[in-house]
Amino acid sequence: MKYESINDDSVISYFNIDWLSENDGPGKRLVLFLQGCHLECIWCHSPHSQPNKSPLLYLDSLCKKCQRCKHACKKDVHRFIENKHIIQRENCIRCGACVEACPQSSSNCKTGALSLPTQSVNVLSLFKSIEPHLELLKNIGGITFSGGEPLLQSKALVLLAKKCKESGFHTTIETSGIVPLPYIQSIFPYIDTWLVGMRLLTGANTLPSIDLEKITRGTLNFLTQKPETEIIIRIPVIPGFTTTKSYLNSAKKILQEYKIKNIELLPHNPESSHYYKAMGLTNQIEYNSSKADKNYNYVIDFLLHKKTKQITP
Amino acid sequence: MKTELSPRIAKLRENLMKRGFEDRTKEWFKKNEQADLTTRPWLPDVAKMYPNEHVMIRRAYGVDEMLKAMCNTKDFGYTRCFDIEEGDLLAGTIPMGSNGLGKVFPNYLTEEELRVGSATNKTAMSLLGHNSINYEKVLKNGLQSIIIYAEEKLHPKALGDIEDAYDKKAFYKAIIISCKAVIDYASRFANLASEKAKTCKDEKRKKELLEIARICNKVPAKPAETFYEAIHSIWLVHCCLHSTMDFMSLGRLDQVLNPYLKKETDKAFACELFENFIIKAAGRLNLTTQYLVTQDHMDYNAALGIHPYYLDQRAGLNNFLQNIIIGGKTPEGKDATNDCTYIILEAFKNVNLSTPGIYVRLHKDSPAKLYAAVSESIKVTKNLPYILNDEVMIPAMLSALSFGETKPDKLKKYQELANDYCVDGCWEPILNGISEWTFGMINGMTIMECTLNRGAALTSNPALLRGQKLSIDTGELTDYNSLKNSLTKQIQFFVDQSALAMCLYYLTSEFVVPSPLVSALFGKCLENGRDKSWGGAEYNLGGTVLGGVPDMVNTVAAIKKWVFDQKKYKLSDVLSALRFNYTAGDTGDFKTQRLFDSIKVDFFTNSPQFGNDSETNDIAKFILDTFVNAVNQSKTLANKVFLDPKGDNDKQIWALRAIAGYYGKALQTILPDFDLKFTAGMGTFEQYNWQGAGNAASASRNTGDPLAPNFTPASGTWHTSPANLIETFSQLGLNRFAAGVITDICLESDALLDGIIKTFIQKNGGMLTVTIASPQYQEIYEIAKAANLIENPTVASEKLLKYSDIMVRVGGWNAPFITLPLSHMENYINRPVKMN
Repeated sequence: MKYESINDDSVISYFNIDWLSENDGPGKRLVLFLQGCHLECIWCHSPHSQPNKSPLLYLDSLCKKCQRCKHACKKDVHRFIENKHIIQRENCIRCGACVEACPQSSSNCKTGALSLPTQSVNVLSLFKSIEPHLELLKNIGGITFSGGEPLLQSKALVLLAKKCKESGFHTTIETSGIVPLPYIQSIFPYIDTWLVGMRLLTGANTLPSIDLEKITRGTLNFLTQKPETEIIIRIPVIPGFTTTKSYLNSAKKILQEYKIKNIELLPHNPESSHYYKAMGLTNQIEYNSSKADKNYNYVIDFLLHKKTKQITP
Repeated sequence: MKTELSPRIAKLRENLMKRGFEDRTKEWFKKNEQADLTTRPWLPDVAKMYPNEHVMIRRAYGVDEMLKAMCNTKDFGYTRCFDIEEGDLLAGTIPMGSNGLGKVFPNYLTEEELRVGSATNKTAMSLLGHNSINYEKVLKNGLQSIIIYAEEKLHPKALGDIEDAYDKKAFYKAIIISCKAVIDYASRFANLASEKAKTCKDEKRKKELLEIARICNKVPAKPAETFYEAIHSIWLVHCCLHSTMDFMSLGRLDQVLNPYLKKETDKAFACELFENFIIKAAGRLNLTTQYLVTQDHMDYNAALGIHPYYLDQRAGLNNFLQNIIIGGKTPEGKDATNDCTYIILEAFKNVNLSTPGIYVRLHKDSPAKLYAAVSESIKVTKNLPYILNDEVMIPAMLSALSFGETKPDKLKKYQELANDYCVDGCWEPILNGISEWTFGMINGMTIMECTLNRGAALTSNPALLRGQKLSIDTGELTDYNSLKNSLTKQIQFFVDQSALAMCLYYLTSEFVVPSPLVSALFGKCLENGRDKSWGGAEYNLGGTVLGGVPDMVNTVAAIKKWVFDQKKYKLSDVLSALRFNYTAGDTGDFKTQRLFDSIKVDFFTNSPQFGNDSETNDIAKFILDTFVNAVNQSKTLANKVFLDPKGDNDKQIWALRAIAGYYGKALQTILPDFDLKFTAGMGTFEQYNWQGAGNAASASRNTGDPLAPNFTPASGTWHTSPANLIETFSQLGLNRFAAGVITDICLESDALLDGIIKTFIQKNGGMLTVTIASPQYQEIYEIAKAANLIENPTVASEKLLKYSDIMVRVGGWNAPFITLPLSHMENYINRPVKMN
């Protein structure tokens, strides 16, 4: 796992802004999705958040096969074979020429056929561009820093979080908690609500790792020192990964140890394959709605001390 | 929360909706051209009855004949104008007619007047309205007192000298005739109510009818004393004005009615009365489009000022130019919110119809309760009320009024007037009941084409060579500065053309469309002995309204970026692309098409767009500064040529007047106190589709596509938070636009509404309408489209019935979505601002 910061200290890389979310922290919130994550969880529904640099996203349903991208590209990334648009991402240097040439894509909004979603912006100018909107959210919510793993850009993020706090905006961070403690400590004074993922396992592992449990404990140990800090544990319910007895037992133990009452369970996202397709990858976990529902109910019962019935994940 | 309507109001509303879906053709006053007039009587020809009377008197007789015809059930019973509906608490019914469909009125112009009028585009049907009545006087004094005043003036001793050749005698006679006509109209309803009461079996209703009879015998002739009398008096006068071609708006009714509300102990009844009032005012609704052609009563001269102004008739079919304005400040500058403000707002929320419109004036110190009530009402109705920002509109009105004025007492007076501003039946800011308003519209994208193409439109017709010549040649553009210089000169040209022509309006209207009934109630007309169409009003405002500004900004931004900064394209190639709608066509080769494609992609998707971020602010600010400056320059010239008596002794000035089409004395020689205050505004009204249809392609627009509606990011070009748009407003100095600057936003969700309203006021936005989008736009569009192509219109109309409560803003007013032209529907589908 690499922890190094991906930018210089005053620049933030992000791949999306959600202007209005009601699911990521208290009230109505602007969510800033920071680029880069080191955990590579196999169930991740934002695989494009993981690399340090922007991946080229392509949505076949929007492509008109006009081939202007092919003409614009100097690196032979775009090929058209039998009216099929084939992308050689390994050649891509992220110059943006294809996105600019594409009539189905816009530099003004990020939902076109082609996009390089990541933007790197100076903290102050980013703040200036979101401040008017944060004013709208002032008494009804605030800002949430999500990702990716936002704390990989901890130095720049501290600047931004500080700026937000100084302006009276409520701040929330969504983190895996699997980062060096100093990252947590440095931003701690500027965060009102912590959404901590219980990442006891990562990658394709199905068993919790002792190392990750240790890091999680370290994080929670620090965060729970101040009783006024709001901590919410967020667990994605992924059948076969976060629904196993061993994961749930470990998780439950930690929750009890730190007396954490606030738990949010995130159901398996039915659209989780969307960005895999856009990145030209195949997602390795298929979404199955009945399985997802059953497991979700099972985990609720388990963690909330209700009578449980073992199911086959 | 929406309050349940009382059974009475629910029934009245239901009946109105039902009627709206019927064929209303049969309700129009209609002459049968083929048949013998004895089998189908028609309105009398007043010009033939009184061929030697002054036009003002003929017009007044026309008012009387019209109001008589409306109560003549023998000949005109089919118009359904003379009835009191079951449960209705207000007597008086406005006959069919609207901004989009036209009006019906007895002819009062001689054949010669009609023929000469064709030269200035004026006849009796010239679109009036666009002003408001301050009903305070009517309620306080009654029409009887106006008649007495006019009769005293007619006494030879009091008449004074008439050295300016203005026929004051005719004016006062016309006042008396038209006021009497209204009183007679009310008493006919008093008799009708008494008759109905005689046969009424239901004791409760019988009492109501007797009360209506009592009230109609009293008001509007005499002063009103109770809330019921006050609201009925206003209704009767409003009804008479709208029935006789004067589509006058209603003004600040909460201010006018509150003293009467204080006396009313039953507040629920007061609210019910107001709900009843709204339903009556909406009585002319058409909710299906299948019978519109047979209701088309518009003629060629639906003109404003002296320029033809062709309406989007279908979009304007339910626009009756009637708004109610609530909240705001008192003339002294204190918060004006009162109990009646809330009752009116509540009534609008409960009834939720597309007309009349309701505007709430908000300022930084408006009560939190009012902010909350406004937000709540928008959430329930998805549309109402619209919002006017006092923080911007009061300084704007003040600066227009006090242009060139330094005397402290005058400035103090102007401040009071500005504090009391309202908007007319559309959204143009006016002084409540005392200012005559006229305006000219200019299309910013036509200015843009002339800027880029040396005074010519970017027409593709080869017979026109470079293009249709519309203005002066301001030279080839070589860099961004030369573009700015050229744009400045073009804006001045178009502003002069529109604004200077407004002065001529005052020299024609008097003799074609005098309004004695309005003048009886309006400003100082009565005291001055002059019709409002000729300087009778205390104040005269002439607005120049620039449309398509967001498109101008986008186009300048794209050209600046790609032609002048990055030098990716030659300007001539860009102009060809715009001229030919980015299509090389049959003659163009493959290479040209590739180039046009590339330009189009950059102009549509890779250029900064108005309202999204600060990138376009400098350009927007430049255009606004230039425009305001041009209007001020125009005013200086207009003063010199038309207004200032000094010019009467200057041959050069006489020559200038003649060039403009006027050869006479200065307006201030004829009338010393006359001034036409020039104001600047930005918007399109419902014309964004119309105007855009005549323009070449531009950034983010194909040839003929709609312009941006009003001062709003163009449909489909808005990708960020509304907060960013409001932030833009805070930097543009919108408090210079006394002719209004209005933004119509359509939001996918109402989640941030409270904050948006508050921020809009605090950050100095001008005027705002919010539509909370319906997820059903697309399906309504599909049904309407299918109806146009294959389906039986009656079947389609039945299918659309269930969507009749969905209203949207069409630039100047609200309209039921189901009645819109398809092009407007398409525009709306792309509008809602998504935030995630």
